[in-house]
Amino acid sequence: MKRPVQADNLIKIGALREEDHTPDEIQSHVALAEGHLKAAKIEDLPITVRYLNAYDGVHQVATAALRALNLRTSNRAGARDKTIQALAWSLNARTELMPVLAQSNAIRGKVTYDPTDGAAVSKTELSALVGALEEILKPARQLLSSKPDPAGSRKKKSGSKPA
Amino acid sequence: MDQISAAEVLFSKTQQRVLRALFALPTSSAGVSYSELLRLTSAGAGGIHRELQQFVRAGLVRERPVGGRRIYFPNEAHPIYEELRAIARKLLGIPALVKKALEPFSMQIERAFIYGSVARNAEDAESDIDVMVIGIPPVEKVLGALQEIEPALGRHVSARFYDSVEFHKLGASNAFLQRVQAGATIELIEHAPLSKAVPAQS
Repeated sequence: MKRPVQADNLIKIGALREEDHTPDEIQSHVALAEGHLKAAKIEDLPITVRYLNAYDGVHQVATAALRALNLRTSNRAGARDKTIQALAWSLNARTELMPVLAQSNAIRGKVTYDPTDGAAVSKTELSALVGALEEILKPARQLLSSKPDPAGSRKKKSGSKPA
Repeated sequence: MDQISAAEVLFSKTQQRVLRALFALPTSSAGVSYSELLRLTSAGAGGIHRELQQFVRAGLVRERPVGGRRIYFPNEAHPIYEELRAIARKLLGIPALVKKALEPFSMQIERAFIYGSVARNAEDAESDIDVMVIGIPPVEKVLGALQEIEPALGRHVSARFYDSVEFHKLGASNAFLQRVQAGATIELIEHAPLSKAVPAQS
């Protein structure tokens, strides 16, 4: 799996760092995403809880896609947002899907940090995000069947240390 | 016959871009550097430079060196400044651009409006443009259309989506929606309630 040029640029500015993934790591992230998707579809749960589950599912898929490339975001403000934005190249998510995913990060922030003021998540927004999660889960499941190729995903085959 | 806007009749595309950046945006009066102007207009350097020089020669725009950069300001002393700014804001400002982006989906939108700091005229250069969309439009496509106008506006457009029933139901108890409804708004689209027969597209 060749690493996209966007990843190299983000490594240069310190937003991403290299770290080999473990054999079961991707599977764990995808399994968590599947669980969050199921929870997001439980109609008895409040819309906001379902939305946060869909968001967490998106974040798990995005993390799985980065880790499959042996990449990880640096511990900086906005790391979740960057992980999700990276789906455009880490999983080749459709361009049209990206604004929905970006919006989910903004809504999640409002809901989590200011629940009384920003908690009015709508069914329309939930439906759009669940649709997006279902779509990105398809290629994420395929990550499980692709053989890990840690060395091939990098330009430099040695010299990088897991942080 | 295809409809065209008043802005298209009155100004060329390049003139519209220069006018928007220098007269229609909340940040216009603070001046715009040449590089910022190119970013806001997403246009070729040659065309923008030529148009800018015309505005300067006509006295509508002034240029001043600030810290090694040339900054362009609308000339507030020009006799038609107020009128030109009013026309530019009305035809090319934030509401006009957001409305244009939403128009392809207007049959599926019951009401759309700008709320928050832009509607209150209290925004700063970093403020998002908050848009409320009530109806059953395709969320993905609407967000994409709004994202496309962000470079021209120089800021992020943040949209929230509700169907009509949900908006009114949640609005009775939710603090955020109550604040939105009680605050200033700039109406963009307002239709009679949509028929249930209009399908939502994804």
